[in-house]
This record gives sequence, C-alpha cells and structure tokens, in this order.
Amino acid sequence: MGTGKTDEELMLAYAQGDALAFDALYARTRGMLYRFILRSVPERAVADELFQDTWSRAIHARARYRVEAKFSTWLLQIAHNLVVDHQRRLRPQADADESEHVLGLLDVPERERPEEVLSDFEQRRRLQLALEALPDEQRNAFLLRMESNLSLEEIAQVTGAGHETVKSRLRYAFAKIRERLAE
Amino acid sequence: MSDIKKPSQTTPPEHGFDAEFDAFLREQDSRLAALYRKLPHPEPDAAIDAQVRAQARSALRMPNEAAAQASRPVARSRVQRWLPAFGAAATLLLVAGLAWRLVPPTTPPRRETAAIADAPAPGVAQSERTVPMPAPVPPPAQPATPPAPVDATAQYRHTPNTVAAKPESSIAADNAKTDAKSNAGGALAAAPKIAAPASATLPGSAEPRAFPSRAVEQPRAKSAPPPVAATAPPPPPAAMEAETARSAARAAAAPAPELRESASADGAAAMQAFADKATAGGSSFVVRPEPSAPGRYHWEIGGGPTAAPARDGIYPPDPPPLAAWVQIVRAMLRDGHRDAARQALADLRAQHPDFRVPPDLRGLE
Repeated sequence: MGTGKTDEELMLAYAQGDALAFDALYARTRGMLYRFILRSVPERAVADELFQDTWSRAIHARARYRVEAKFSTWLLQIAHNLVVDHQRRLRPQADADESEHVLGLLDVPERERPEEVLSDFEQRRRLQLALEALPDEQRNAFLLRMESNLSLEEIAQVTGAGHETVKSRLRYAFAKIRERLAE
Repeated sequence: MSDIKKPSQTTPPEHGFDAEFDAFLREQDSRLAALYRKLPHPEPDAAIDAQVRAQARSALRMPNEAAAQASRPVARSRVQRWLPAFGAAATLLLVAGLAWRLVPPTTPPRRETAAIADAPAPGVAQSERTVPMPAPVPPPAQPATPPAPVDATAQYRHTPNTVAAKPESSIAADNAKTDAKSNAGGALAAAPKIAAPASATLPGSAEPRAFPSRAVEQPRAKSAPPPVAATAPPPPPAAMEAETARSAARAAAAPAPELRESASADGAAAMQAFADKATAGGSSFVVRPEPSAPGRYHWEIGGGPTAAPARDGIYPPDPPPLAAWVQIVRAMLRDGHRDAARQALADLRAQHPDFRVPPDLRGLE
C-alpha cells in the first residue's frame, strides 16, 4: 500500500482516514527520524520519548497538514523543536558513558579485515565523539544535512534560522569534525 | 553567536578546507558522508512502532475530535473575517449619530417666519431669539367696539382688514420696516399698505411673541410723554404688526418696575429694553373705571409723538395690553373689586403664561 505515492500524498490520505497510508509513511521515515533524534539526544529513553512525541503531534495535526513543504521537512521540524526544547532543559551534555553506549550500537561489517575494522571503528568512534562535542545548533544542522540530506534552505526552514546562519553552523561543525578525525 | 565569535580557533588553515566544505554541501558521497553512513543505524523498537501505529489508528476512530480540531481554526477565521465589517458598520453608525446630533434642528417654515418677524436686533442673544413662544390663546369673540368718543383713530380701527391675506413673511418684513421708521421719528404715514381694526390685531396673542425680541435696540429715553391718544395726529392706515409692537412697548413702559422685579435674569433684561423702547416711543396708556359699569375699566393706549394708532376698550371683556392689564388688576384691588381683580389676573395668566406675577399681586393667586 502506498508504494507509488509520495510522502505528502500518503500523509493526505491518512488525514482522510486511510490507516494503511500511515503505515507506509511510518515505515519510510521512522529510521531517519529516530536517528536524528537519537544523535541529538544521546539518551535512548529520551530519544524514544521524543520520537513518540513527534509522531503523536504529527497525528493530531494531520487535518492541518498542507503540502507546502516536504513531509520529511515538516516531520523533522516537529522533531527539531522537541529536541531543542529538551536540549535547553538538559545541560550539560551527556557524559562519555552515554556516548559509549551509542557507539556500542555500531553495526560492524563482519567481512572487513581486522586492521581495517579497527581503523574504521576508530574513525566512527571519533566521528561520534565529535558529534557529541558539537554545540547543539551546529550538531542539529549537521545531522539534518547528513541524516536527512536536507539542503541549506530546508535546514533553515526546519530550524527557523537564516540561510547564512545555517551555512555558518555547518561550516564550523564540519571544521570541528574534520579536525577531530585528523587527530 | 558562539560559533561565529571565535573563527580563528575553529577555522582550519588548510587551503583545501573550502573545497572540502563545498563538496560536503553539494555532494551526497563526500568522505565525511561516507564515514557517517558507516555509523550505526539504530531504529525504534517494535514496541514503539506498535504504539505509534495504534495511536494513529485510534486517532482515526475519533473523527469528532479531528473534526473539532479541523473546524476550530475555520470558525475562528470566520469571526475574524467579519470583524472588519462589524467595525465599519459600528463606525458608520457612530458618524451618522454624531452628524444627526450636530445638524441644527430644522424649524418649520412658520417658525422661521416668526423669527424673522421678530426682527432680532444685532445685539440680541441667540437664546432670546429662539425661546419658544407660548401658543397664543384664541381670544374671545371680539364684540364690536363700543361707541367711543369721536376719535381720529376710529376710522383706522374699523378699516377693512387687508392683512389676513398677506403672507407672514411680508408682514414680518413690513413689521421690521415699520419699527425702524417709528424709531426714526414717525414715518408711519409712509406705510399705508396694511390697515386693520384694533380687534383684528389680536393684541393678547401678538404681544408675547413680540415681547422678548423686539425690545432690544431702542435707545433709552428719559421719560414717557403723557397719554395723548385723543390728540394724536391721524395716522395713515396702520400696519397691524406695527401697532402690535408699539402697543406692547407702550404697555411695558408703565409697569416696568414691577415687571423687572419679578422677571428672571434674562426676562429682566428684555423687560428693561422693552420698557426703554416704549418710553422712547413716547407712548402711554390710560386706565380708568368705566362709570357705567362698576368693576369694569376702560383702557386706552395712545400714540406718542409718533402718532401711532391708538386703541381702547373696556375690560372685561376687551383684553388690554399686558402692562395695562396689570394696572387694571391693581386698580380693581384699589377700588375694592377683589374678585374681579382675581379673575382679571387669572385671565392675564391665561393669556400670558410666561408672565410672572408682581409681588404685590401674588396674594391674588
């Protein structure tokens, strides 16, 4: 059901009462949304809560949904607002143990050579730590770019920031991650 | 912003940084993107998936809630859409109400004519000119003028009335003209157009109308001449309103002190001017008992040097001018006809509702 339809069409169909359209839409976007939230708030329980809260708001707002932007952008906007609210409530950042917990979720390919596996594992670990160390605004922009492939304009729409501000955040995030990976 | 304040700490010095960053922004498969895709891909638990799907289905089973949520903004927008219309209507109503309040009240043409006929002087206050006049009480049927001593003015009193057919506006204009001429020293002979018998002038009804407003622009005279009704030069056919005004002025001349005492502040000023005008005109009146009928009084108003037409009568029943009427009441009291005096005062009040009874006559009420 709904394989040939866009996300926006599925959302409109669900708003009209089609439950299967929601299932198809959820299957398409659940991973992307969950990873964005989980990498923004390292505590898994919080990520689960924010994930459910995001969908709950989208479900209740289905009648007001208008196809003025991509559905993923609209959904990420809801999630971003919840994440930012949580980040403002919880400072400082998560400690190293939580980061290690996230790193433990890595899915390592089994057929890679041991040295390469170690090297690649170290690179991913550094990337994960670099992401954790980023300021919230820079990390959110970076995740929206990397996880959801959003453009600068779409990131600006989701975060409510200006185009140049988003570009600046991405630039600094990119520089810090690059510096951390080069250590 | 914190990420802009310290560029030197974070901006790498390498020349290839900008190129790598542009590639990061443009390309989907940059080196950093490839590394990011190697990060674990965690997904929500199946329990969370089940909860979300169950919530989505339960939301569809509550269409009322969804309909309410969907209709709430619409209803709000309908109200907001009508708000400017309501505001415009309220503003229009307010402006119309203010305009209706500010527009001067329109008076019927007859009232305008009356106002013109009153010939307000330049110095007369607006309030004096617009004071509503009491409705004149129709005078009793006027009997034929009783035989009187041969009087040069008699021929004018019995001249056929031609004023009835004249419009009021013309009368008013003539009235004003006549007043001016009489003030100037007697050119009444130049106004022969209107001739009316004394009984046609309805003095009782004309005087209240002329009283407040005509009494203004006359210069103050030192004294009133003695009554000279019988010796007045024969005037031309008299203008009805001229005679009315003049008789009112003459009537006010004699009892002016009493009237001034009893009048209100505005009325006192008008009364003073009225008396002044009458005095300047040199007219007067005579009140004497009628020998043939005890309790009845002969009154007579005569023209002064201006040779205004004179009138006379016997009260009761002939209603005299206001001042003469007051004098008749006093004369009745003086001569012991108290009941007649009470009746005369009642008649006077009926004819002049705005007249304030002098203090010496208040015991009769």
